[in-house]
Amino acid sequence: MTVTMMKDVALAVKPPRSMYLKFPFGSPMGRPGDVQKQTAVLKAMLDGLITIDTPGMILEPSLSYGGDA
Amino acid sequence: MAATIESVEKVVQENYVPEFHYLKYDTTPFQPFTKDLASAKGALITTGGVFLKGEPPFQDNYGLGDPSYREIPSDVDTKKLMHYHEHYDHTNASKDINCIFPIERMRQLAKEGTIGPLAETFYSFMGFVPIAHPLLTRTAPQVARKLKKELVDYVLIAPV
Repeated sequence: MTVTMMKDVALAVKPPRSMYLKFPFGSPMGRPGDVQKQTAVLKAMLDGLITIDTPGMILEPSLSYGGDA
Repeated sequence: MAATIESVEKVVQENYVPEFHYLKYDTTPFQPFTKDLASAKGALITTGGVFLKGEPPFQDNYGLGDPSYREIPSDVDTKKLMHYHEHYDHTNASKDINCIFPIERMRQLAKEGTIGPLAETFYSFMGFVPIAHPLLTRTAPQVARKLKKELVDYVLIAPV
């Protein structure tokens, strides 16, 4: 299960399971010290691991980076 | 403006590897995940160029990239983690390695029992690999074999 910050790359490369986040390059898990968000990203990935049943599916969870990216 | 496949390909072609194109696939391998997360063994992979202090860092090779990987013990002291990658902003990773390699968050989830045991070894790549052949034929398969040998059930990937 992978995060992607470029949805068109995930559509082209087709990882088995991916999760699109509008997070900036260099911070796929969230801001420095934001334990809550970093944990939420991991938990969303773990959920996707279990729930995705279609090869190449891209989840778009409602996780925001917060503030100015 | 948000980066697109076309914009990234243009930058890489003009500055580093004229023949570069993203790999494109029509199908993808898929294995249903049927295990209980609380007992499954998990591993983490980053493409943020993380390496252990004192070990050889990744190299950019004048823009040709680096298809190698590094092994990172999952119980490592995070003070020993360095990162080298010419092609992203390291500001956040320098403040908190979990931004690119959420090792402490994984350890916490394992400690509280949300997930099962962690693999002994996690892996790191430097995600700028515009010449993909050695990654596809050698290093990525090596990592896959090592994960299988350690009986890892799933991998979470943090690209930068």
